[in-house]
This record gives sequence, C-alpha cells and structure tokens, in this order.
Amino acid sequence: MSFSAETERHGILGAIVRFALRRSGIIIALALLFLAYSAYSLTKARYDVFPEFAPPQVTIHTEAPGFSPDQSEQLITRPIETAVSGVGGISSMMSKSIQGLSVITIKFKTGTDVYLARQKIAERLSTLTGELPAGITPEMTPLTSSTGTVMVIGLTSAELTPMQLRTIADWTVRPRLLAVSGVSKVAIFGSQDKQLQIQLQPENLIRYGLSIEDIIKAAQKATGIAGAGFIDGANQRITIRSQGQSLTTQEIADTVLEHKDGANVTIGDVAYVTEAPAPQIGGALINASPGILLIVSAQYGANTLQVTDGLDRAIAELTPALKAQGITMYPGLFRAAAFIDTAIHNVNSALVIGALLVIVVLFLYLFNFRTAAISCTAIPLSLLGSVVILERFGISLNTMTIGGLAIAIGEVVDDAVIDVENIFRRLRENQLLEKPRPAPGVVYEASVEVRSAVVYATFAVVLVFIPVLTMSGVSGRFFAPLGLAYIFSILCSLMVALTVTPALSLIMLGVRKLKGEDPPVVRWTKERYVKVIRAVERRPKMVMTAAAALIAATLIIIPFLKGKFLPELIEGNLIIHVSTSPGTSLKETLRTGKLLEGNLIKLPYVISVAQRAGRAEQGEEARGTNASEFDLALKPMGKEKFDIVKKEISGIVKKFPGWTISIDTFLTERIGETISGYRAPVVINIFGDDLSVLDQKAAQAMQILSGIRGAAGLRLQAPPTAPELLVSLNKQNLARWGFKPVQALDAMHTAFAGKTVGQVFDGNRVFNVSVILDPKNRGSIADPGNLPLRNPEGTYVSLSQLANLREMPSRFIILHDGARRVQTITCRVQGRSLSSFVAEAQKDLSTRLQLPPGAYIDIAGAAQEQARTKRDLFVHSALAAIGIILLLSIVTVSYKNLLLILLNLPFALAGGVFVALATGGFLSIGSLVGFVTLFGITLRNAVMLISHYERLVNVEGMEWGLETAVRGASERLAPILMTASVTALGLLPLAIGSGAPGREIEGPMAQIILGGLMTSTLLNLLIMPTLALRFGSFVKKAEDTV
Amino acid sequence: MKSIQKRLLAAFVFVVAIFIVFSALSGGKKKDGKEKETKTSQTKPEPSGYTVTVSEEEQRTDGIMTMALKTGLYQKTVAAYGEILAPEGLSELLKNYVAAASGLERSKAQLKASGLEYARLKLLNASDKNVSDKELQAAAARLAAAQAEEKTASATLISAKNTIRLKWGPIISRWVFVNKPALRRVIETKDVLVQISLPPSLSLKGIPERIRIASPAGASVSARFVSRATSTNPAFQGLGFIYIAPAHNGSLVPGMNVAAQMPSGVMQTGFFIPGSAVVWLQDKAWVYVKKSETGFSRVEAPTSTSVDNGYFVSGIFAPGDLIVLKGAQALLSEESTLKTTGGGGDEGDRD
Repeated sequence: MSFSAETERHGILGAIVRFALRRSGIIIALALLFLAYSAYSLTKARYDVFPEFAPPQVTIHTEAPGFSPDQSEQLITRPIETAVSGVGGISSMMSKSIQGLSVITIKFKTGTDVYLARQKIAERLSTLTGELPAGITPEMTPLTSSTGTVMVIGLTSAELTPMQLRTIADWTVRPRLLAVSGVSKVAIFGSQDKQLQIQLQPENLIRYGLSIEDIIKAAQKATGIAGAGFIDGANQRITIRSQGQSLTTQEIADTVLEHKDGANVTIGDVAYVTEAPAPQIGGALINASPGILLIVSAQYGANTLQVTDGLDRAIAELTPALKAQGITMYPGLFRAAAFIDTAIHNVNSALVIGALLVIVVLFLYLFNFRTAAISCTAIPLSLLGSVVILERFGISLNTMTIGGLAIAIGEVVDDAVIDVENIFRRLRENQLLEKPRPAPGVVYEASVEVRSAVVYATFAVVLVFIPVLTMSGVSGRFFAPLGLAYIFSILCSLMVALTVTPALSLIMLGVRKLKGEDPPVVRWTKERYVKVIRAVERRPKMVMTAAAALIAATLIIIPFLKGKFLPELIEGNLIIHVSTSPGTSLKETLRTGKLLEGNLIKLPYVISVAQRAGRAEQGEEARGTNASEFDLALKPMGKEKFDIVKKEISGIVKKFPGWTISIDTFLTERIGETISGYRAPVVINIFGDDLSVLDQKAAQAMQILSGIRGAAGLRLQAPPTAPELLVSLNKQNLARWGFKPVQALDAMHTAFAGKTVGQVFDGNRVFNVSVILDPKNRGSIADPGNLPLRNPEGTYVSLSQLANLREMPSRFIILHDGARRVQTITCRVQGRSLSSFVAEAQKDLSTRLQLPPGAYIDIAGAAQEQARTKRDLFVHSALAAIGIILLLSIVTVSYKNLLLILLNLPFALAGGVFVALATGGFLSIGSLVGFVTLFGITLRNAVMLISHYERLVNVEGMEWGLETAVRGASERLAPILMTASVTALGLLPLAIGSGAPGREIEGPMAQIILGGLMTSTLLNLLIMPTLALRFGSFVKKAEDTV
Repeated sequence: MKSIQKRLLAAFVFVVAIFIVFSALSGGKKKDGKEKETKTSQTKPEPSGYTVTVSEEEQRTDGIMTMALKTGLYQKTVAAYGEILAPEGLSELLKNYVAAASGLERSKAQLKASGLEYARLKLLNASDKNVSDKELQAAAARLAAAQAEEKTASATLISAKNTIRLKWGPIISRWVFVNKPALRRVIETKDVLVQISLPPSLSLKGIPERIRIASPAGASVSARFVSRATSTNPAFQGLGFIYIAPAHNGSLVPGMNVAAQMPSGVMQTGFFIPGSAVVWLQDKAWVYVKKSETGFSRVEAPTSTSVDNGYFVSGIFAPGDLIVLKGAQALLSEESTLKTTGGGGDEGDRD
C-alpha cells in the first residue's frame, strides 16, 4: 500500500487515517475485540434510574425521648450545629427539632468526598461529649443513595399480636435484609416495640411508702448483669459465669423492694410487670390492616437492581418460615427497581428502535448494502465505547445516560455516513477515470477531504455541551451525565470515522465495481430539490421576509412558555403525604388512614396501599404523629391513564376534612426534597431569632402571597398550633417540700416517656426493661398533675403542688437553616409560570413586609433552582458561544460565512419553540438541554454546507455564483438529509413515547430537537443557498493558508 | 418596493395575530388555574366560637360520629389516701381508762369508809374518851389519805379521758366512755377505723358522710364518717378524717394503706363529655357541636371536673345537643388548614 507524498500534509488526522488504511485488518480485529469487551462490560454495568442527583450529605439524627421541640432545639440541635458548622465544604445545613428528635442535614459542595465529610463530622461530634443532656447520643445515619428507598416490605398477621409481629420483624426479618449486600438501613414502622415494662401504679407507691426512684434502683439491680472474671489455675483458666439476672416478667415482679417486719414488698406489689409496647412514635397499615413496614435503603453508590435481586432472594428465603407462623409478606409495596426496569427498558427500546430506523434510512439513502453496513458499524462501536468510558468514570447507566446515547445515534452515524458517502463518490469517480488511481490513496483522500470540517464541527458540538456540563445544583447532576454520554459518543464516532470506517471502506468498496449513478432516493430528491432551490432563488425577498417573520414570531412566543423544572415521572407508584393539625394523635391518624386505605384498595388499578404514620426509630423523617405517608403501588399504565388515576385518587383524598395533602411519584418527590428540602416548588424562608416575631411575619407574608395570582397550597411549615402541657416548676414550692428540680423532672420523664433500666435476653433477642406509669394513669391531660412524688422525709406531694401545669399552644417543629431559626412558607403555582410568580412574590414581599432588624427573607425551591440553572446555562452558553465562534472562524475564513453558519441557530430555535408550544407550552430544563443539543447538530449541518461551498471555490476552482450554489447545495443535500433523517428517526421513539416511564425527561428534549431539526434543515437547504449567494464571501484564495 | 412593503405588513399582521392568540390562551389558562382552588369546607368565626362546614359526604368519608347529650347527675370526688388504724392503741387506752375509772371508784369507797370510821371514833372519843385520842388521830390520818387517793384517782381518770380525746377525738372518746358497741366491733376487728388524708393544701366544703375506699385487693368498701382526725398523717401533711368501715372479711386489716374517693360539693346536673370529643386549642378545651347537617360549632368545654375517660360539664350544653364523638380532631384540622393555607390548597409540602 502506498500514498502520494501530497497526503503527508494532512497532519495528525491524515496520520491516523493512513495507519488505519495500512493496517486495516488489525483495525478491524481491534474493533471486534473492543465490541466483545464492551458487551462484557455491559453485563457488569451499574444500572440506576437516575444519576446520583443529591449532593454529598450527612444526616445527624438524635433521639431525645420526652424532649419538647424547644428543648430539642436548645439542648441538642444548637450544640451540634455549633460543633459541626466549621467543617469545610459545607454548602447548607438545615435542621428540624420536634418532640423527641433532632435531625440535622448537612449538604456538602458537589465533588466533596462524602466519606471524608463523614469523618470530619464524626470528629466534631466526638467533641460534644458532656455538652449534651445525659443519655443523648447523636448518630450519623447510614449513607444512602439519592433515591434512598429501594424497597418497602410489609408484614401482617391475623394470628399474631402486633407486638409479636414487630418482634419477628426486628429479630428475624430485619437482620436478614441488612445482610443483603448494598443495604444500608432498614427502618421499621408499626412500632409495637416489645419491652418488659414495669408499669407503676401511683396508689400502690403511696400504699407502700415508696418512690419512683426506689423502683428504678431495684429494677436496675434486678436486671443488671456483670461478668465474674476467671480463676487462673496451674493448668487451666476457668471462666466464672454468674447467673441470676431477672429475665422474665415474673422474676422482675418478684424483685424485693423492701423488707419490713418480716414481710417483703416486691416490684409486683407496686406495679404491673408486663410485656408491652414502648410509647409509639409511629404506626403502619397495609391494605387497611395493622402491620409492619420495613423501609429498606440502599447504600450510597449501590446498584439498585443488584440490591433488589439480593432482597428478593432474602425474601424468598424468609417467606416459608414466616408463612408457617401465620405472617403474610408484601414485598411489592414499593420497588424502586420496578421503575428502573421499566424506564431502562423503555429507553433501551427507544434506542434500539431508533437504531433500526436509522439503519433503514441509511439503506434507502445509500441504496448500497456495503456502504450502509459500514456506516452502521459506527452505532455499536461509538455507543459501546461511550458506555465503557462512562463506566470508567463511575457513572451508572441510567435513563439520562442512555437518553444521551439515544440522542447521539443520529450524530454517530452521520460521522460515518459523511465519510462513506464521500469515499463511495470518490471511488466511483476514480473508476470512471481512464487510468484509475490505487484505491487506498483515493479512500485516504476522500476521508481527509471531509474530515477536517467534521472534526471542527464535532468540537463545536462538544463546546455547545459545555453549558450542560457546567450546570450547577440538581440540574447539573442530572444532565451532566447525559451531556457526557453524548460527548463521549460523538468523540468515539469521530474515532471510528477516522479508523474503522476508512479501513472497512477500503476492504469492502476498494476492490469492487461501483455503480456510477446516485441512489434512487437521492436522485429523485436531488432533481426536485434543484427545481425548488431555483424557484426560491427567484423570490429571495419573499422567502427572507417569511423567515424573518418566523424568527420574530418565535421570539414573541418564548416569553409565553411556562417554566418547569422537571416533568412528572410515571413511576408506577404514588406517594400521598397527609398531614393534619399538629398534635393529632397516632390513634386518630391511623383511624382516618384506615378509612382512606379502605377506599383506595377498592380501586381496580391499585395493587396495594400502605400507610406510614409518624416516624420510625431509625427513620430520617422528622415527622409528628399528625403526618403520614401512603405508598400506592399501581398497575402498569400510560401517562394519560396515570393522569386520570391521579386525579381520581386526589378526589378521594380531598374528601377527608382537615387534610393537607401532596400527591407525587417517589422520584419527583425526592428530587424536590433534594433541591430545597421541601416538595413544593416555591419556598419562602424568613430568618430571625425570635420565633414569635417569625410567626407573626410569616402570617403577614402568607397574607401577601395569598393575594398573588397563581398562589396555591400556601402552607406554613412550622405552625405554632401544637397542644402542649407546660409544666413550670415552682421554686418556692420545691423548697417548701424539700425537692430538687431534677427529681421532679426525672420523675416526669420516667412516668410519661419511660426510663430504660436494663435489658433482658431471650436467645439472641434483647429487650429493654423500662419503668413507666401505668397506661390508665397517663391517658389524660389531668394525669401529670396527679403524679405523686416523695420527698426525702417520706412525704408525698403531687406534681401539681410543685409546678404550674397549663395547656398552651406551642410549636411542634422548630426549623433552622444555616444554624439560624427560620419560619418557612411553601406554595405551589397554578395557572402561571413559576418564574413570574417568584418575581412578583419577591417584589411584593420586599415592599410590603416590614421586617425587624436581624430578620430577613429568602426565596428558595425549584423556582430558584430553575432560575439559577437558566442563569448558569445562559452564562456558560455565552462563553461556549465565544469558543464556538473562535473555532468556526478557523473553519471558515470569512466572518460573513461565519454569520451565515450562526444564522441557522434561530432557524432551529423556531422549530423547537413551536414544538414546545404545541406540547403544552412548557419549557423544562430538559427542553433547554434539547435546544443546546439542537444547536450543536444544526451548527454541524451549516458548517458542512458552507465548508463545501468554500471547497468548490477553493479546491475545485469554481466561480461563486448561482450554479455553484445550486451544485454545492445539491451535493450536500444527501448528507444533510441523511443527517437530519437519521437524527430525527433516532429520536422519534423517544419523542413519540414521551409520556412513557423513563422517557419523561428525554421525551420533551427529543421533541424539541425534532422540531428544531425540521425547521433548521428546511431553512438550511432552502434559504441558506439564497443567503449564501447574496451575503456569503467565497473567493478563491491565492494559496492555502492552512 | 411596493411588494416588500406588502410583505413586511403581512409579516407584522402575522406577528400581531400570534401575540393576540397567545395572550388569549394564556388568560384562559389562568382562569382554569383559579377554578382548581375550590373546596367545599369553610370556616367562619361565630360569637360562640368557630363554625366549620363539612359536607355530608366528607363526614361519611372521615367517619365523623356524633352523640346526643343526656342529662346526668354528678358529684365531684377527691382522691385521698387512707391508713387502717391499729385498734391496739385504742384498746390500751380503753384499759387505762377503765383502770382509772375503777381506781377512782375504789378511792371514793375508801374515802367514804374512812370518813365514817373517823366520825364514829370521834363520837366515841368525845363520849368520855371511849376511844383514845391516838386511835382518833389514826382515823383522821386514814381519812386524809383516802381523800388524797380519791383526788389522785380522779386526776388519773381525767388524764385517761383527755388522752383518749386528744388521740381519737370526741366521738371515739365517747365510744370509749360509754363503751359503745361500735367500739367493741372495732376491737373485735369486725370493723376498722380508717384515717383518710387529703392531699396537702386541699380542703373540702363539707365532710362526706360516706365514702368509698379501695382495698389493696381491689374491693370497693363503703365507709362512714366518724370524726375529724386529731393529727395529720406525716406522709401526706393534709387534713385527716376518721371513717369506720367493715373489715370486709379481713381484707382490710390494720396497717394497710388504702385509696379513697371523697365526694366533694353538691350533686350537680350536667353532661358527661367523653375524652374523645375534646380537643385542646389555645389553652382551652373545645367540643364540636353539630348545628346543622353540615355545620359544626366549636364550643369551649370547661374541664375542671375530670371524670373517668372524660369530663362532666354543666350549664354549657342542652339535652340532645349532638357533640362530635369521633372526628373532632379532623374538624379542628379543617379549621386550621383553612386558616394556615390561605384558602384550601390541596398540597402539603413537608413531613
């Protein structure tokens, strides 16, 4: 194989093509090897529904049984916040303090090593020893993925008591599930948590002259355990094992409290000792029956599908034993994998169908099996190459990355098509010569002839994607992987076009007799196109006016498009959040929950419904017993049906008076929570120190907001309306009766929250022993006042004599943001765009709401995220635009020609905007990314046309005029149509199935690209030659300056 | 040139037409958005509280249940603590009293005999010294001794009586002085005396004649008032009362501590309000009263009289008033939702 010396001037691109042609066999063998490796990699790839969209975060969870929200805030949340606030890299710190719980969520800047962040937080927490109230230990919750929950499993039983069921869940099911690789946490709802309770009877304490402390001490001694050491003999070491710890209720009841006059007073004489549930903080119902819910979370970075497989195996192992005990297991109450399977299947099928359509179009256009086959090899090589690179970058295969691959199909084929089409044409021309040149040289020249423009166009497309890659926040984390998948695909396709395509072309086309005419489809199209283009040329002003009007109309429509962060996801589930007035009891929440579940389970499309009321011991939700969450598993359905179903369910839920509800799919909700910590798109934070002032200002702000058009679902997040019994110790009375304050406080804690005094063992099960008041003496608001306390002299005094007891309204939650107190208002927007609503709200609040010194207002939420994303997108787009202009100025030496190339962008914009309007008038972040992609493709087409004109004039020596313009356009017709067609058809399945699960985000994106591609291609083919003729600058250069 | 103008005009008209169409469309959508904000429930302030309107369908959905109030009688009770008193002390005091009384009788008899002897000897001595002066002087000495003894015995009796009175009060003392059968029943442990102590700083307007005491075995026994206690129980430091109750087949024995419920005040007429009907808001307890098919009024319910599983209220309600027995919290939530969400939004936002 030999090349002319002239070919040496094509630099590195030429060298690569040369090598590929010289070692064509090796190149093809390497390509096959790479295909095999990629296929292998694919089997090991990590699948997920979305990229890891949450920033690195650490949650500090501190249980504080019996503490009021104020106490949780002052004694726990504040010290922890102070301790950790100096840790580097923190981007936000939010906390919630509720009755018995403090939850602090710390988010770190993107890119922070989450393990290092946890290490730093752990170090800071260790410094808190002694600063927190006794017995209070802050814990970092296990690291979970963005989506968190992988599965919700339910247990019910008609034969076992709720407490027995809970014990099995705690000690049989939970350990097995935790043993599954990738599971980080299993939280349990339905808290009939078994304890051995010493239920004090106040009248008996008095009868026997005992105090609560006496019982605590006796119980601690009865259940305490201590090792006895060992005896070291001459030959053997003998371990001493002591027995005698009270292990049963009877043994504890028999514990002697006092020995008087030859008679014993036992714990059983003053209290009921029984197995009873700990005071409940949550409850669960499954299909309107009481049960247990196990919420399984996956570890950070775990493969959801693999974790689900492991869980399924564990469930299969457990099922027979549970069934034998009369327990029914519900493994499908929620399965993240179900949506992942469906979503990835749908996106994959869109990818495959797109690829098949592309292949059909290639055959039609090229009408040659060999050329089409060579072009088609680019699809698997480029896409699999991209998958391998993504895998190396630690990016999972998810709907976004697969969507990126789907969008890139057209482009990757195009690279090969441009090459093959030119090689085919040049080989055919060569064969027509009297003395044909050797095929390798022709293939080489044909390859490098088009390659330079393609390379620049590809880099321009990469630059176009920079704004997507640099987007901040959740949007960035969502769309950057899509951008990367796209960029990797087109870079791989460039590599394929430089190596495999010339090598295959040489082998498959170089030695064959090629037909000397255009393929039928191309011929037919060309003939008509030339006529049309000449007709257009005759009416330039009319055509240009029409184009100007179209662009003007586009610019007018843009402000009317409504902003939307992400479209609704069709996940096969719905989550209904319900909250009632703070202070609602668990009993009431479960009562109404049962009624709702009874109504929902009757619906034909509902598979199951499960209620989680309140919170779980190890759950991260800071929820009171007034709030609950219903997980609905739905039968598979399309978007239209889903909309109807959601409306019907919403109608049922709305019939419950006093309920504040939100209905969303799981992932939509998680994304919302990741953005702002709230599900509502508009979040208004009022910061300040004085909670009363914050409440007052928040009420005024709500008044102002309710007057703004579009405000819906306005809600105060920390309303000061929870009932509270305030027990204010009276110092004088305490002194009079000889009590210390802590004695009264401890007694109250023991009586109403319960005090754990020890543990008992039953096999490998450990249960707490606690002292608490008899349930009949802690059911009424009057009971605390009657609590008898004994002073050191043995006198009994009721708590009401030592303290003032008063029912009063209080907060059920105290919120902090950045360690500052905050009162938050959330709302939705109906009937107008989010951004315009936020702008009006900002204006009204700043002018009408007078805040005291130190207080200030801030608006967050999806609206702000969207605005920030748009801002980022526009700033980075501007920078990318400069880069693209600089790059294109290398390709085309004339600034006029550069402007002609850029003129394609408004052409593309028009189609995209009209499609957005026709499909609901929404402009989501996905749509914006669609526009970015569209501009890349459009630029590429325009570059190819203008550079071809320059080639005709500069290389082929034609004079610039109508004939050259028509010839250039007709010669570029086939590649441009092919590019447009393959891109359009590649995206068609995504665009048509826009509402299907997994395609919700890419669907609108694909629609925008399709619409824009249509207008840009049409205008590029019809108007560009006319414009180029009038405004272009194509003069033969004196010498090649490149 | 003319044709360019025409085209430009056409383009302008096209653009304006598009603008008008989208403005109209946008307006239409705003209207749709507003229509979504309707909800059937409403709340409004009333002079007697708040009225919340909930449709009948919503009531059925939420399982709201009402109960008609019936007039009932109630007397307030106060929880008190009691100790079964040991009869040994009483028995000892009785013995001392009887001994003192007997001693006095004996001294009196002796005094009388000594007096008669002295008079007789004095007559004989005066009649020619039929008895010697020595004998008369000896008789005078015996008389004086008898007089002294009688005084001592009398003082001992008074002391014994005072001891009983101070320890047991006038009623039980009288039992001792007149040897009442009640005392015998106590000493024979057929009945028991119970000292009931009120919690400190609590007093009763009238002392109830009969109370119920609970034996440690759980039996409820009726006890009859005897007297006020003369001393307080140091364990309670409150006012004390002594009641008598049957020993109940030995289930009440001396030394035992018992709980007691003491009726306080007069019998009242009113209504029993179950705890499930009561909601707390702004430092007050409230009950929802159904005023119409769909209207519920929130009425303040005093909770000063707490009874088992609820409250006794007089003077607020009328017989037949329908109070919400199940679902009161839902109505309260409905009120607060409508107040805090600014007009019936359908979406909450956070846990």
